[in-house]
Amino acid sequence: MSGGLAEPHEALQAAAAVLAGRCEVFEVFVRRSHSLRLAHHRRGELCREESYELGVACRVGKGQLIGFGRASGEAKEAGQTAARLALQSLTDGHPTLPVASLLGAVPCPPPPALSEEEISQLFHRLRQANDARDVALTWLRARTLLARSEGFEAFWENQLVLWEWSQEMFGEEVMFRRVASQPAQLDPPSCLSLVCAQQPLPPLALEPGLRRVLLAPDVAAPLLLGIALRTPKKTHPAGAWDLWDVRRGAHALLPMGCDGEGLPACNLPVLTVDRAETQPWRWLAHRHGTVRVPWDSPPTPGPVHLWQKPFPGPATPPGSFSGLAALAPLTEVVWEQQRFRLLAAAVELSRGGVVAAGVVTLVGSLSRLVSGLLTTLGPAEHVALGCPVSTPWLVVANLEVR
Amino acid sequence: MEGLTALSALLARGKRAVRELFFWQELRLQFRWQGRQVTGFTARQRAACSLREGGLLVARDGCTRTQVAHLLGVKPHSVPPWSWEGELALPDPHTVAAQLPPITLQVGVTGSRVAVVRPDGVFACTRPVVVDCENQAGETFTWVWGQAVPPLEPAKAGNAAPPTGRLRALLHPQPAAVLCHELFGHPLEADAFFSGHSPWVGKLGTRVVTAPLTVVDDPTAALPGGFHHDDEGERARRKVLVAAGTVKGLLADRTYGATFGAEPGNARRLSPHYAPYPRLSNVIAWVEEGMADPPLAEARLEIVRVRSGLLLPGERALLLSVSESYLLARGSRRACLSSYFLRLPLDGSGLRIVAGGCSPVPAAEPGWCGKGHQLLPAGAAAGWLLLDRVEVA
Repeated sequence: MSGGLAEPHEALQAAAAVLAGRCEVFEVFVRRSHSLRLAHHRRGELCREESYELGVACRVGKGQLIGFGRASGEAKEAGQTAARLALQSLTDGHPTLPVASLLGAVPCPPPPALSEEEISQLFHRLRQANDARDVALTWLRARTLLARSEGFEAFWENQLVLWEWSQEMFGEEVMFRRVASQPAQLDPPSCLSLVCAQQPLPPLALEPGLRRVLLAPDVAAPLLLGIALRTPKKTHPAGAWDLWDVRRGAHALLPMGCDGEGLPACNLPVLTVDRAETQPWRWLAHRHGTVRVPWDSPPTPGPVHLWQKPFPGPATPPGSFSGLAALAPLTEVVWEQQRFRLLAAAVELSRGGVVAAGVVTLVGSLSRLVSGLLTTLGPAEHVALGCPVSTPWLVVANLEVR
Repeated sequence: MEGLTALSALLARGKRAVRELFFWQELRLQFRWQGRQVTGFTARQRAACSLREGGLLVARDGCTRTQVAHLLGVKPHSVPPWSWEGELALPDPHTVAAQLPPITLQVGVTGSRVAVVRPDGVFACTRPVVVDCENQAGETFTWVWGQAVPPLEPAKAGNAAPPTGRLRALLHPQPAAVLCHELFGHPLEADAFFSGHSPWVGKLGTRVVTAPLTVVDDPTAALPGGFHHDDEGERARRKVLVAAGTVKGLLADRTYGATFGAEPGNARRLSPHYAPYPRLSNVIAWVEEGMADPPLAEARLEIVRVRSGLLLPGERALLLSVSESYLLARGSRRACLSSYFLRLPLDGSGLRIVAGGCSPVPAAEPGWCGKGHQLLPAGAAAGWLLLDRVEVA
C-alpha cells in the first residue's frame, strides 16, 4: 500500500467495521486533500494558508431504505462517525446504489507532483504578471478512494492550480479565476488585451434589443454550466456546439477512475450535433455521470469538467469582429427556470478595435442560446466555477442586450 | 474544556507569536420536505482546528491532541488533553418539518460550536441552530430554530414589462434589508472600506441618506448571523453603522482594529480552513420616527422580493435583482411585473431614500452571504423604504 492510501484505507476500515452486519450493502467514499494557498492582500500582507482535510461519506442500503452519513476529522474517527450517521439516517427518497456488476474503474495515472518551491515561484511570477491588488494561487492535491461492500475498490489522484485575482474593468471590480492541472496551462484571460490599452473610452450607447454578441470565456463559462445543469427544452442546437464533460484523457483537468458511485469514468457529450440525435444530453436519463463536489455531496448527475471544443483556426479574439463583446460578468447569472440574466462589462468593437465601453445586461433563454451559437474564436481558456469550464470565445446570435 | 486553559498557558509560555488556535465542530442534517413527508434524510459532522501566526494559517481536519500537536510542531503528549463537552444535538427532522408549509423544500439544520484559544485566554461558545430552506424556485431562506418560520413560497413573477424612466419605488422589508446589507454592511467592512472601493470612503461622519435612516450590525440579535464571541475570540457587540442618515462606524477584525483604531469583534470564517475577515452578522435598519404604514400612493413601483443585490462603484449605483414586483397606480396594484435588475443611483448626496418604516421586520431571504466564497448565514431586519429616482436596468 502506498503512503497516499494509508489514511483513506484506515477510514475505510473504520467505517466497514461499524457497518459490517448492520446493512445489506454499503459504499465508502474517502477524500484526503492537501492544499496550499498563497495570497497577496490589498492590506499589503502576504498570506500562506495550508490545509489538510479528510472526509468520509458512507451510503448504506437496508431493504428499501438508504442512509447517507458524512464526517470529517482524523481517519479512524471520521470513518466511524460517517458510518454511524449513515445508519441513523436510513430513509426512503434516496437513489439506490448501483448493482455491483456495473462497477468498474479506468486507469488514472497520478499527475506529476508540484513542489512547494515550484508553487512559490509560480505565485511570484503571477503576482508580477499583472497589476492586480488581490491575487491568490491555490494548489490542491486530492486522493480519492471509493469502495463497496462487495469488494470493489477504486483509487485516483488529482491536482489543480487555481489562480484568482481582482482587476478593475471600466470602474468595476472583476474577479477572474483560472484553473489548470499544471502551471504551464495558466494564461491570463485574453479579454484583458481589449481593456488595458484602451481606457478611457466613450460610454456604450445601445438600443435595447436582440444582437449578435461575442462572449469572452468568463461570460460564456457560466452559461455553458447552465446548459449542462438545466438541460434546455425543445432545442434545435446550432452546429457549432461540441460541448463535453471531460473525465478522462488528455483534455481532462480532473481525470478520475470512476464516477461518483463507482461506474467506470468516460467522457460524456453534453451538447454535440455530430451524433445521430441532435438533442442535448440528458443527464438524468443515464446512469453514468454522477459526481461528488464537494466530497460530502451525495453522488449527483452533473459535470466534472466542461469543455467546449474550439473551432480549428488561427483566429485570435476578437479578430475582425464588429459588434458588442461581453468581456467579464459583474454578477452571477440569475436563473429563472430556463431564462437567464447577467450584468457584464462590455465593449463595442469595430473590425476588432474598441470604440466604446460600459456595462450591459444580457438576457436570454437557454433554447435561444443553444440555437444561436454561430462559431467560436481562439483557443479554450480554463475558467474556474463550480467545476472547471474550458471554453473559447463564443459568437452568439439573437442575445437580448439591455 | 479545562485542557484548553492549559493550552492557552502553553501558548503564552511559547516563543511563537501564535494569534490563536481555532477549534470547530459542526453537525448538519438535511432532508427533502415534500409537503407531507420527510425523505432523503442525511447527516454530516465536521470537525477541524487551525493555527494562525502572522500571515500563516495551518488547518487540519479533526480536533484531537494529535492534530493540535501537528499544528504546534510538538509531540502529542506535550499537548494538554481536551474534548468537547457532550455531543452536538439538533432537533429531529420531523419536528422541524412539522412547522413547514405544505410545499416542496430542501431543508438543512445546522448547529456548531467553536473554541478560540489565545495566549491571553479561552473563548468557547455554541452558535445558534440555524434552519435553512431552498424552495423549488431556488430561493433560499434562513432563520434561527425556535423563531417564527418565515414565508417560504416562491416569488410571484408576472409577465408585464417593467416601466422605463426614473421613478419612485417602495421597497418591502426584504428588499430593504438586502439594500442595507449591500449598501452599508459590506462597504463598511474594514477590508472593503480601506480598499478604496467603498462609496463611503471619506464620508465617515457625513450624512449620506436624506431620511434619518439608522443601520446597525448586531451579532447579539436572535438572527442567523448571531454569535457571542467572534472567530478571533472577541466579544460580540452591536455596532452603529449609520445613525440618522450619517455614516458612523466600521466592522473590523483584530488586524484592522489595531491598524485603524476600530473596535474588533466582527471576524468570521466558514471553517478553520479559512482565515477570518471582517464580516457583517445581522444588519438591522429602520428610519427614526418613520411612518408605520408604507405610502403606496407615492410610489409607482412596489418591490416585494429581490434575490440579491450588488454595488457597482464604477457605475455609482446599487443593483437589485427583483423577483416579485408590481406596477402601482394611486396606491393600487395594476400589474405583476416580470423579473429585472433595478438600478439605484448613488449621487453626490448618497442614495435617495426619502422615507421609511420605523419597525424593522426580520427578512429570511436570501439568508446567506457569500463574500470571498465563504457562504455564511447572515441575518437581516428592516422597515419598508421609499426610494426616489430608481430605474429598471
